[in-house]
Amino acid sequence: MEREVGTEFKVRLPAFEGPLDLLLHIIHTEQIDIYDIPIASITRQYLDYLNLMTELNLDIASEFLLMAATLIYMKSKMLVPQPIPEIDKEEFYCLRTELTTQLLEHQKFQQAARLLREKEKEHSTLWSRSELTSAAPPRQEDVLLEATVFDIVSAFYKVLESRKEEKPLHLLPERYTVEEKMEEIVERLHQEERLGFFNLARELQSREELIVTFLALLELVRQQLILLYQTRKFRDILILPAMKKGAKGDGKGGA
Amino acid sequence: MEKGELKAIIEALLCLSSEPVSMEQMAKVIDEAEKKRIKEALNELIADYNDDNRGVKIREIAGGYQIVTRPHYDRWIKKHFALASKVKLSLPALETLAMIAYRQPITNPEISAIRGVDSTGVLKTLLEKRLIRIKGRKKVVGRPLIYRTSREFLIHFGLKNLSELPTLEEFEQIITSEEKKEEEKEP
Repeated sequence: MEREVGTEFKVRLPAFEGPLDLLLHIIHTEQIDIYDIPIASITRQYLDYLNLMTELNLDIASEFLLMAATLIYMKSKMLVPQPIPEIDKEEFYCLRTELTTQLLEHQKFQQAARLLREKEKEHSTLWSRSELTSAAPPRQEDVLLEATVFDIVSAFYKVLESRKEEKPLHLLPERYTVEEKMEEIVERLHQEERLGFFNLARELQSREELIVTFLALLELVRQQLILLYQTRKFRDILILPAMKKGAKGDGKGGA
Repeated sequence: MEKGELKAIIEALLCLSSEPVSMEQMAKVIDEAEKKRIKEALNELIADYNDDNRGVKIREIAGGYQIVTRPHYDRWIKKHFALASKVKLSLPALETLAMIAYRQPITNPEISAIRGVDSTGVLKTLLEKRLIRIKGRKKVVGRPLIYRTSREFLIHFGLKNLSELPTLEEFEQIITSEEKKEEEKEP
């Protein structure tokens, strides 16, 4: 039953998301009976993989180590001098059955995920009206990515960093309000069709104004009055007017 | 109302709708009493689109009907509208989605237990893509959020409804039959 493994690691190591993926991979490549898992050999193979992953400098999540500990614990139960006390034996089989159940469950969902992948592929080349963005169409050849909140925040941080103010603490009355800034942005979008965030930021006087402007942008997105796009990660953010359902005109303004 | 007229009305409705239109919505707009004939007209219309080899077809999805372009014309659509190919989900994301689809309502700790990995990051991505939704909190320690699949989930995978997916037991059978085949191959 014991099989020598670890002799020939192929060049490519599939990405294992978690310990169960790795165990299933070993079970399939070694054609192990999932209902009768040879704990000693699978533990060794599992650890071989972990070592390899360490050598390749892959981050090993704590879940992998937890599983390693469980496997070693189970193995130790079988290693106590013969005859094995009943209690240990029982615990061993209990743990092993639990592992099998978990693996079988995981396998079913892996299969389901594969089916979803097929469905997704099948439908990825069909287009409906809802998939055409309601934004004003891009003017240039740039491929627009929809920016996530994190992209926006990181772009904001970049601008903020370039404006470090190291002055003693003064408490000043609020000079800018989010509402004002929102109006200002909407007004400008009417005239300019689109704005670049970096450009917009450059015109602003202080960090305070910058922060208020940023909050105004987020609020406008939330209210679906504008759309934010990026041409590439960490690049400038494009601010476009959103076409509200039933709103007049095509949002291109321009006067 | 004449069948041809019904077909034309349905076609017009579907043509301009961005979201799938349900039978109920159509009946409400056209004539509640004509439901059966509307359904017939719709089926004929679907058949017409199929017979004529058009660039578009009508598909049943997420409890409604929708006009979509045929796969063959993907290339030209993308060119004209400057669209990138649709984003494909990662395997962990698909696995998590499968768990939610089959086990909903389900919480993060429950998902993580089955997957054997922490799923917080994946769940966040799925929420951002609007493929899943938060449906309240479970009344257990820590009050974890409860997740469900959304309508977008059905649309993304081209499903009419959740019951169109095979059952988990069927997957079990697929797995065992695959294993048998492999064993047979072995001497």
